[in-house]
Amino acid sequence: MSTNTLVLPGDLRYDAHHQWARWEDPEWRCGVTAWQAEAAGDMVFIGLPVVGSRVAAGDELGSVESGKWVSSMHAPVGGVVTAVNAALRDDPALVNRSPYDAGWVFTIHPSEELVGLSAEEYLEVIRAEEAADTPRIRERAE
Amino acid sequence: MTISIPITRSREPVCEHTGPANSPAQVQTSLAGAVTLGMEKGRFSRNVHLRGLNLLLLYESGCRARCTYCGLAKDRPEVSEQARNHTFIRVKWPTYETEDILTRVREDAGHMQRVCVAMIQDHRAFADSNAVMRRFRDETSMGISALITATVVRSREMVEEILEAGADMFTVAFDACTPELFDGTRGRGARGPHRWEHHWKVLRWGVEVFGRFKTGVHLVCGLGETERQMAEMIQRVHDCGAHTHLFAFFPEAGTVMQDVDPAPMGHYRRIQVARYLINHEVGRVEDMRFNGEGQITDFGCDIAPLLADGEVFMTSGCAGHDGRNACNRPFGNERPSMRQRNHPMPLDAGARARAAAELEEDLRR
Repeated sequence: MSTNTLVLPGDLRYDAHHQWARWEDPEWRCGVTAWQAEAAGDMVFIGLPVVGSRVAAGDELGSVESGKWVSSMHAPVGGVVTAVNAALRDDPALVNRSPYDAGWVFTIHPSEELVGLSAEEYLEVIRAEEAADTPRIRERAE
Repeated sequence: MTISIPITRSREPVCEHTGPANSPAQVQTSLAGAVTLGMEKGRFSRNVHLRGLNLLLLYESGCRARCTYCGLAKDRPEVSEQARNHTFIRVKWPTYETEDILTRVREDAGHMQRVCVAMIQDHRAFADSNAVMRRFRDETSMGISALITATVVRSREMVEEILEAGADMFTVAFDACTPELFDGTRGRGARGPHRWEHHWKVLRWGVEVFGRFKTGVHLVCGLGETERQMAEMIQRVHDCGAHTHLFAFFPEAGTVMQDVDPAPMGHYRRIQVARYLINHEVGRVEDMRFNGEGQITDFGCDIAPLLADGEVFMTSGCAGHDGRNACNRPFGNERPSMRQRNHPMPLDAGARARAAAELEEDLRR
């Protein structure tokens, strides 16, 4: 058995796609949660959205991919993509090493209010998924 | 409020071997194998389960061959500088202590039914491959495939030694399907050590020693062959008493063929169908029709039942205890986000329909 700790920062909003969003006035900075990065393994490719593209909440706008796994990224809110993290092109595993900081994926200027989950609500999403599947990692019973 | 989640792993990731690495003490494993054994973090898309563990011998000096498409080729700079932890067939192949892999397999091999021990071109590979296979024979219940490098196998007696070491399947990587393509990608034309006729000699020894259809031949689609050439090779191998296992060429950075495009999807799909028909003795290459470019325009029989079933588009490899292919190599040819040439699990209705449509791609009637 090995144990370590994953963090869900309280100042972020989350969604069921295992993404986070941080408000940095006037836009949201978005990325992949530490939980998702831990479960996926080292990322080998990040499909970045196109800067300037206009998206609706829930639109697929990119992808994150480890050696044997891939998942779409979705717009957490309607708006315009204002920047992408070009460093991920050469070093996609930044998402694993620094999911909430250097491993951010894109920023979006919102045209509406973001409806997301709190850290507590997102934790319930994780628990439900892990209960429905054979967990590779699981929350430690206290 | 920030939440810290203490998590546990049922199996602790294992540190990769650092420092000089040489088989049989150390071996490389596919990323899929390392993830399945819990040695590496990761998961599979589409709930795929790995059914076969692929191991690869390694030496500090690297592989002595120069195959123009292969990530192990000795001239590839990355390999010259560091003969381990490099990518092979596009993904990382981590290096572990052989003992650690055996420990994990004994604890829980999951869905894995077979181990495949692959040589590389090195004079030590024959003895070291046998040593690794003996460990798996004595300490696990997995079926054992010997993926041999024909060039280091010089006699029928050496093939008998491989059988005695525990292998129940004997596979030869021809990769190229004509003598000319073989020579240009692996032999004299590539300044490499491999020879077409010797590979055939070793294959025939394998059939004699292991028995008919206890041998297999690896073939790579996309090295410049026509569909007719590949189908004729599959038929020749089958008539010799061996199965064929298909792989798709994808360019690897740093190799001679790094700028060559993969073969079109339609090319691969038609060869998959031809292989299935021939290896299941439903059809023969003489019954197939080809156009002027060597593309298969008619398989000589009704393939509608095959397309409805979809197994024809699944990965081909050595069978497990249950008789089904145990070497499913999930996402072994292309990234998980790409169209899959080899499906590692049974196809759903949507995948079957897409694969059937792909059969017509790039086909000139």
